Amino acid sequence: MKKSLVKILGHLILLIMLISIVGVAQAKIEVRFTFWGGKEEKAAYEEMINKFNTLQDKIEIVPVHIPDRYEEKVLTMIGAGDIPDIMAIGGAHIPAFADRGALQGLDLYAPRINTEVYYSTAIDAMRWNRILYALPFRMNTKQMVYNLDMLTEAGITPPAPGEAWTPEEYRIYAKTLTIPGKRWGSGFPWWDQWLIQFGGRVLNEAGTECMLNRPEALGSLKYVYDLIWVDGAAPKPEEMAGQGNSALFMAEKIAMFTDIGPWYMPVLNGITKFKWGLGLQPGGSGEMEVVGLTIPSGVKDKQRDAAFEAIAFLTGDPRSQDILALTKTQIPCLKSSGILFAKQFPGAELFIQAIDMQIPQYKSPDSRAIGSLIGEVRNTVLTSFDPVPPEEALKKAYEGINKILEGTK
Amino acid sequence: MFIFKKNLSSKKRRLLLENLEGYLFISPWLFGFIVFSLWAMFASLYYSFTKWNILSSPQLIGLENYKDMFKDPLFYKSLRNTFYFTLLAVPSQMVVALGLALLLNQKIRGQQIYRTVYYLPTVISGAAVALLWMIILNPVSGVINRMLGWFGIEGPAWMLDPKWVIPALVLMTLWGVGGPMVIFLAALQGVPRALYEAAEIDGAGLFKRFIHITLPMISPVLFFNFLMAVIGSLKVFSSAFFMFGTEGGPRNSALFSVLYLFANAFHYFKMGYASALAWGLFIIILAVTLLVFKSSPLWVYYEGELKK
Repeated sequence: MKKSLVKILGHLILLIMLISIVGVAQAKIEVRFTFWGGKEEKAAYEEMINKFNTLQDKIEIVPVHIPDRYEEKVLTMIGAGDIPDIMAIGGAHIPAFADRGALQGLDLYAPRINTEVYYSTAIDAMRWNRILYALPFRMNTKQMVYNLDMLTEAGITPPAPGEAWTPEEYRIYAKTLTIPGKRWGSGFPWWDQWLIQFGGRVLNEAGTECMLNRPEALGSLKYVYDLIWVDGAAPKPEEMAGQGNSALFMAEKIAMFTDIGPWYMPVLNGITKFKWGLGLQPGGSGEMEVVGLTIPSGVKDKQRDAAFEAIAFLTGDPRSQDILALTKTQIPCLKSSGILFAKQFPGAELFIQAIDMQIPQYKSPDSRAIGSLIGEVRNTVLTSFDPVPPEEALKKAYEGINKILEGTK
Repeated sequence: MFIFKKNLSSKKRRLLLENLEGYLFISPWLFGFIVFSLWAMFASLYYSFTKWNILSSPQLIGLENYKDMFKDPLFYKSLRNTFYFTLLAVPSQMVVALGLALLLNQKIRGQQIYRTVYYLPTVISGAAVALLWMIILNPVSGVINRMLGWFGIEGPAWMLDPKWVIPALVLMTLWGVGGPMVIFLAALQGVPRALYEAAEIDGAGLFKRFIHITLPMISPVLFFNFLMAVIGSLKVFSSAFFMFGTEGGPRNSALFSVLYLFANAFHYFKMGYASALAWGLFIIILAVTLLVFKSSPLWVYYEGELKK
């Protein structure tokens, strides 16, 4: 009796060991993917992740949604050694992480990457010092939105599809549309975008030289200042009453404004009081944002390979990128999915057309410090309280940015 | 173990056992303090002597961060803003908290409800408070400027005019004086009525009773609230952060020390320098705290204390 009991127990233990070994052998490789975004974005990304997870049984992407203070939280995670396997990253921030050794280049996987399937601007935005650090995931180009009823009433023809007004035309129309005490022709003009629309830049493409000493920088800054304080065609900061341009547009306090991305579409589609339309930004150009998926340093071997397979699917497979296109609020980086996005709503094709006309955000390992100086230009010139002359503000920013680029502060 | 040594007297053994019991009871807090506070402090002290961008290993650079700190104009700007905020916020908070406590100390109906109402803002989160005050302080449609308008006064552009940013933030902090108010209220209720009655008999009016009885009797609590207000004001962060991010407001008028430290740590990848800033601020707060303690014998009265 005793002997048979021992035999049965022994066989049971062996069976359990065999099952666990097989279980371990069949266990999926888990890759953690950190990303930011609101409710809709989270839902779309989780749908894309589920698609990948159900199409194969070797890798499982575990979503790690960080709704707020994304960069600070990811930095803290990396600093604490809790490194995610895949990280969403803005193209403008790639140099900051790459130069500090936090990202792996994807050159190891170059034979498996077909860059032709992506928009070339998007893939270029993922490079720094000629190394590809991420694959492009989604992007935002910018448009102008106008109140068609107000334009018709004022006898102004909206820009033809695919054509853009010049900045001077925008200014003239904004003045025409302004009714003092009732509405402004233009929303508050964000200088960062107008700089690009004027053909200016913050930095050169290599990120080694500040270009705020060029005439386009001064011209664009004077333009936005005059639009507000000389023409009275746009609200002053204190007149915004704490609201954004979209709120003022919906309240019919402004006739048109620029710098709108596809995420505005649900808000605009809710407007029933008046007719509105989309057009290319004045000047045609503007600054776009490209978000990529990257693999941080410290992710090795099987984990790294699994992470690459995951990002290759999420960024380069139509079954994933089409989900983004169908959200109608995010532009996919895959060309075939971009064609699908262009059919989603009237004006969607303009967002796709703008891809070839707009440029990604400037890149630098110290983009945040540079951004603070740009913000200072905007806040010290475009203010009713002791404004600084544009020339003086630009000179100070130019010197400050060059100091940063030289590696001192 | 030592307590089981043969030669130890029973009294000593009993004392040691009692001490051990005490340490066991406080061990959870002690563990948390050592791991999450003390260890973090020593780690940041180490990092303050390094160049560290969080993403790679720290490199020792000696006192360079401290030298840079003394040469950094934004460090001085942030200190000036912080001290200016403290100079405005602390007396305002003390006056408002004590004033409310004196009012609530009256025997009126619905006293409990009023106490709850005044305490409630303290429990609301920083982000929600900041959003609410951005609406209240709106220069065009905000409640405060509208009310000033009834009296023919043109209200300032609170969050847009560099001169008014800090007064606006001080105004925000007054909304949250529920905590010190409750403490003042408890202290006021502990003042013996007999003292007021004796003073009344001697002909002392309301003001004299307040100055010569109320204030001295609540001075320990006044000292505590004052110290907490000073320390809290020197560490101001969330109101400015939620209003302006790390940009520091118009012309850096809301760039406080802790906000500047945060920007250096997480936006400029200078965790080493941020750690040095943190220790600089710690020493300043410590110096101010010691100054307040040193001054306390001059104005804080403890019952039963014999003055030399």
